[in-house]
Formats: sequence, C-alpha cells, structure tokens
Amino acid sequence: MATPTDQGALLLKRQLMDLQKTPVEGFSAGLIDDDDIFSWEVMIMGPPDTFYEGGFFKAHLLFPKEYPQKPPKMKFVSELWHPNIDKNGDVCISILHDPGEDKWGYERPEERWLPIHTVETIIMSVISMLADPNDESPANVDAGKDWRNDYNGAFKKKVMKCVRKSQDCL
Amino acid sequence: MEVCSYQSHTKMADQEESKITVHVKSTKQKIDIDILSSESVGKLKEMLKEKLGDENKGELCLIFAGKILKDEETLESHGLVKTGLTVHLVIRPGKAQGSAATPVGQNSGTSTNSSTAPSEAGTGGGSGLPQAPPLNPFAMFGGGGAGLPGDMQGQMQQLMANPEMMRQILESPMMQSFMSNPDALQSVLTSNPQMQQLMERNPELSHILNNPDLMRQAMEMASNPSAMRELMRSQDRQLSNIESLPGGFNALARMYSEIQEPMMDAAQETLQQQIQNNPFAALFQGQQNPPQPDPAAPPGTTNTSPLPNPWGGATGGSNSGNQSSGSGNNTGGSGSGQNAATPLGGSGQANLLAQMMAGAQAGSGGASGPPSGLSMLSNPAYREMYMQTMQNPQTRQMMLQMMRNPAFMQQMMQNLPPSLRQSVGNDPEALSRMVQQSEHMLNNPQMLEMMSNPQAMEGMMRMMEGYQQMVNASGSGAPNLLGGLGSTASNPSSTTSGSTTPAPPPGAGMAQLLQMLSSQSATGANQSPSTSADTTGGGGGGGGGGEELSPEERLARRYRVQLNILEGMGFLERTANLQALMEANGDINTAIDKLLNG
Repeated sequence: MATPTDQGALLLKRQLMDLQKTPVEGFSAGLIDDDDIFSWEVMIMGPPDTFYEGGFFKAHLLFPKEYPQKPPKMKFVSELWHPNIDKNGDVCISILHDPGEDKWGYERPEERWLPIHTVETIIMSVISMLADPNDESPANVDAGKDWRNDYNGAFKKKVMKCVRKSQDCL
Repeated sequence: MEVCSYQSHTKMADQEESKITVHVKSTKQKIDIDILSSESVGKLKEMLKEKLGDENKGELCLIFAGKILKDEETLESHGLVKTGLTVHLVIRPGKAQGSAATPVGQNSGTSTNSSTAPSEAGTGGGSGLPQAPPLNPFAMFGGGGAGLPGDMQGQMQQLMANPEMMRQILESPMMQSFMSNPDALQSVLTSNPQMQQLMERNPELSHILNNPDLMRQAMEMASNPSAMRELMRSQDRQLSNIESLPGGFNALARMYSEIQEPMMDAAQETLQQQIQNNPFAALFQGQQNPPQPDPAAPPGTTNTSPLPNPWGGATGGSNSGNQSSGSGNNTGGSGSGQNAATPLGGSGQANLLAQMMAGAQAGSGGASGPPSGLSMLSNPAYREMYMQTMQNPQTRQMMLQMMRNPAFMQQMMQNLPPSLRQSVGNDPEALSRMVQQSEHMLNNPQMLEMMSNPQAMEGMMRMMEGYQQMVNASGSGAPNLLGGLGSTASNPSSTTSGSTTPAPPPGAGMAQLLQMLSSQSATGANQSPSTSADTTGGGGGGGGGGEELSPEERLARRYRVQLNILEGMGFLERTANLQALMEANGDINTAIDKLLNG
C-alpha cells in the first residue's frame, strides 16, 4: 500500500529522472538536498525575446507531502522584478493556488492547481508568465505599475539589473 | 554546500576513475563529450570549446540539475557520474558574439521544447504536407477524414500547408474587407439551413457566430500561425484539465453530442445530398472518429510531456486523419474553439473564392485591383490549384450560392475597384444580369471544361490582360472592341457569334466579357449556334432577378434568431428589438439590457 507521501515521492522521483535524462529547453531542475525529493532547485533561463533573456534565475520548488493533491510553493532565490513575483520571490500564479473555488472569484477552478501538473508544466507556465505577465493581480504592485506605465523605461531597467546580478553569480 | 553528501555517494557507487559521456545541449545543438567524472567543469568547458570552435571560454555556462557548474568544481561533485546525463549549455551573450546565444525562439511565450518540435514543420514550409504535424495549427480545417468525397479537402490542406499563400490570401485587401465585415461573414455562415437550425438550438453558439468581434478575432488568429499554435496548445491543455475535473468528462461528452455532432451531421448531410454546398464540409470531415481519451495518460499520473494532446495520441498513428480527429474534437470542446474553427472553415473556401475574384478583378477591373490575383494565376502551382478548384463541384456550387445571395453580391460589388463598380455596380440590372450570366456559365459544362483547360485559361488571361491595357488606353470604348477582338484572337470560328452580338451599352464591360466567355465556350466545344445564342440570350433577357431588401428587413434577417428569442421573452416591439440588437451588435444580453434600461 502506497501512502500519499510515497505516491508523491514516486512521482517526483520519476520526474527528476526524466528531466535529467531528457532535459527541457529553458530550465534545469535538480534537488536542493539529494535526500529530500520534495525540495527542488530550478534554474530558469530568461526566455528569449524578453528583457529577462540571458538571465539565470534560481528558484526553489517546495512540494507538500500531499503532492500531487496539493500544489508546491515556488520561490525565486534570485532577485527578480516581475509583476507576478512578490518582493520575497514568491511566485503568484494561478496554477499554484490550492484547488477549488477562488474566494474572490478571479480564477476558474481549471486555472488552479490540478494533480496533473508536473515540475515541467509548472516551470513552463512560469517561463511563459515571465514573458507575459498577468497584470490583473500583481503580487509586486510596483513592478506591475512599471510594467504597465513605463515598460521600456523603469521596468526594463530594473529587470536588466536583475539579469546582470544573476549573471554575476556564475 | 550540498556537495558533501554527493561525494560520499559517488565514491561508494563508482570506482574513482569512471569515464562518462555527457550530453551537452544548447538551444541549437547537442554535443556529446567523453570525460572522466573526476575532471573539473573547467576541463569539460575546454573540451566543449574545441568542439564548438569558439575561443571565448568565459562565455560558456553549464547548468545541471538546477545548478550552475563552476569551473573549479568536479563533475562528480554535481552527481555527473552516470553516462548519458544531459547538461545545459548556454552561451552568454556579450563581448564578441552577440547573436550566438540568441536562441531561435518561435514565440516569446513558450520556450522551444523538443516535444513541440513538429509544429515547426508546419510553419516551416510546404515540405511537411503529407504528414500533417500533430500541432499543425491548421489541421482543424483540413479534415483529412477518410474516404469522403471531394478533393476539396486536399486542396484546403494544400492551402493550409502553405502559410505563405495563406497569408497572402488573408492579407489581400479583398479578404481583409470581407473579414472585417460581419454581414458578409454572417451571410456565409447562415446560408446553410442546418447551420441555422443548430444555431437556433444552441443560442450560445449563435452568440458566438453573431458576435462580430469574436469572429474577427478568430480570423485574426487564423492569420497568425503562432497564435494559432498557441491556441491549439492551450486548448488541449484546457481540455485535459476539464477532463480531469469531476464530471468533466461527461461535460465534454455532452458537448460533443449536443453541439459537435449536429454540426457534423449538418456538414455531412449537405455533403452527401449535394443540394447546396456547405462551406463547412471540409472542416468537419476529420471528426468521424469518436474521441478517445489517451489511455496512456490518465489524469493524476505523471505526465512528462508539457502540454499533451489528450486526444491526439489515442491510436498512436501519425497520419493526418488521426490528428485532425484530435484537433477537430477540440473544436467542439469549448466555445472558443468552435468559434475559431467555424468561421475559418468557411473562410477557407471563401479564400479560394476571394482569390479567384481577386484574379478576375485584377484582370478585368483595371489597374487598381490587387496584383496578387494575376500573379497567382500566372504561377503554375497556384494555377494548378485554381484549376482543381474549378473542377470541384463543391466550389461551383458554393460560388453559385454566393452569387444568388444578393447581400453577398452587393458586398462583393463594394469591394470591386471603382472603375468597374461604376460600370456595373450602379446599375442593378446589369448586376443581376451578370449574376445570372455567371450562374449560367457555371452550370454550363463546356464553360467549366474551358475553365479547367489550361490553354483556354491562359488565353483568357491574356485576353484579360489585353483588356486591361485597352481600358487603360482608351477608356469606355474598350468593351465594344473587345467583343470582336477577344473572340477572333482566341477562336476564329466564333467570330460570327462575337460580331452578331448586339453592341452593348457603354459601360457594361463585365457583362460583355462574361457573355463573350460563355459564347466562346459554346463554340469552342463545337456546339451548335443555337446553344450559343441561348447563352447570350439568357444573359440579355434576365433582368431584375435580384431581390431588394429594406435595411430593416436585412437586419431582421440577420438577427432572426435573436429576434425570436426576444419575442419569446415578451419583447414584442419588433422595431425596438431590432434597434437594440443592432446597437448590441447582435449580442442578446446586451440587447436585453438596452431594452430594459433604454
């Protein structure tokens, strides 16, 4: 009998193996600590044709024991200026929100966490979020303002700064 | 940091010196490097540099398991101890080589991904035609259904597989104005009785079809391959999401049986009966296979492909029939899908038509017509397609149907270049004459034969070019000359029929041309003179066939469905209803708001 935790661990192990064997363009994923399959470390390469291009952004993906019934938390360790990433680095994206009805009525259930999501689909969503922010519910209000009002000015400048910083860590 | 645990691990698992193969993957290439796992990252980079032929070592950046590999670290300290692991290589932009690191991003939203690679073939050019790629953005039009009559589908596919041409068509001024005109679109959509029924039964659907904004969006979407691709991807995703919700599968099944099947039936019935050509026929041919959820990927298990197509892989085949059944299903799956697909299917055929019209326009209408028509016809590949199209009974019927539709014709006329419009458009009689004439033409097998005969076509093209020159040179005198000249030039035996034709009133250029064409076809095929007289006579005598509608009447037709709904709700003032509907652009909810508040 597999307990829920075992199921999650099995799923994650398989994903880790698959990702190392056949990595996906745009990011690289591994574990923070090799003994803990529930804590992942992900390196996201800034998507091309965005201000984030050339940056290497490190993020942690922390899975709950209930995975895949509950979503992981994602947090950027690298500094990142983006409307949907708050100033602590926490990623605010609908697919990482607990399943069920949104109490504010913003998100439809199918936009929220579903057990079919994998590390890969999550990261892909995040990469596409980098390229295309959702400015309806900015987690970083200032970044949201910049993005809306001064995209090629303040916003670009701050993003570029993050990109440079991320490259300095190499 | 976390290095220690790994090292101990490694030492136990392997003997110290183990030779491994590391796959290094950049956005552009994949390089295999054989190296000892005890070597440093710096050494790996040096070996890489040799293979790459690059000098600047500082620009290489290797990433493995979410970590950036530093030069002084060893490979095994990162767990690179097994053969066959893949390391990401990124060449940092900067210094000497700015462009080297810029990956070939197709669209900025998603990074390129090996599993989506087939879609590149779809946009890459005509080469990928026979095996339509799974994510072919246009697969949904093409059908590719098994063994259905009509090679229309093949042509459509051909058309769809050629993005260049598709774009050309979509960008032609004719098409643009057609698309931006809800009336025209709607008349195309609603000219099919089954479609109408379907819309009546499903008011939601008719909302979509009646909402010009949505339609336009769909059109725009269609003209943008990457957007289309994106749409398809996310739709697959949404579908699989819906499916995994409790009751979701039932909802999908219901959707399928309530909307998609009737729609498909509508399409097929018409196809079989051939009573009236249905612009959507080709669209739905792919949907004969019932949807099959992919057994290999039940929801809840790991799924490593990023955006799986829940339907596409069911039979595992790569033939286009399968795939289009997959994407066809999406069409029914959500409102937006339906919306996207339906007008597109219509437009596909309309495209051909528009293209043809553009050809005629450029040929006969004078300098102001878009040049694409002529150039398209003079391109052998296009011409062949044109020929095929002409030989296809469906196309003919569709053209007929369109011509019989006064609103559509009027639309068409407005799109004609001014010079031609002046001569024909302002004269309703001339217009209807023209319509009848062309109807006749299309029903006349000889004519069709001629149109599908490359030589005859070429002759006609030359004639048209000549005519254009003539118009440019001599203005209104041209049509008279043409009657004689055209027929003598291309068919001496028809001189009599050409010259006996009564001198046309100046300005009836188009009608004259058409007349001439039909008489030519008759004589060209060694028909008896009486037939030729018949053809021309029919043209001259048939006037006043076109139906004139008052604006209100036209509105009432367009919003027939909504009007019925409103009346059913107790809004009995027809004029007010119409007014509200017009202001709401056909959206019934807005219209009701207006009626209640206004």
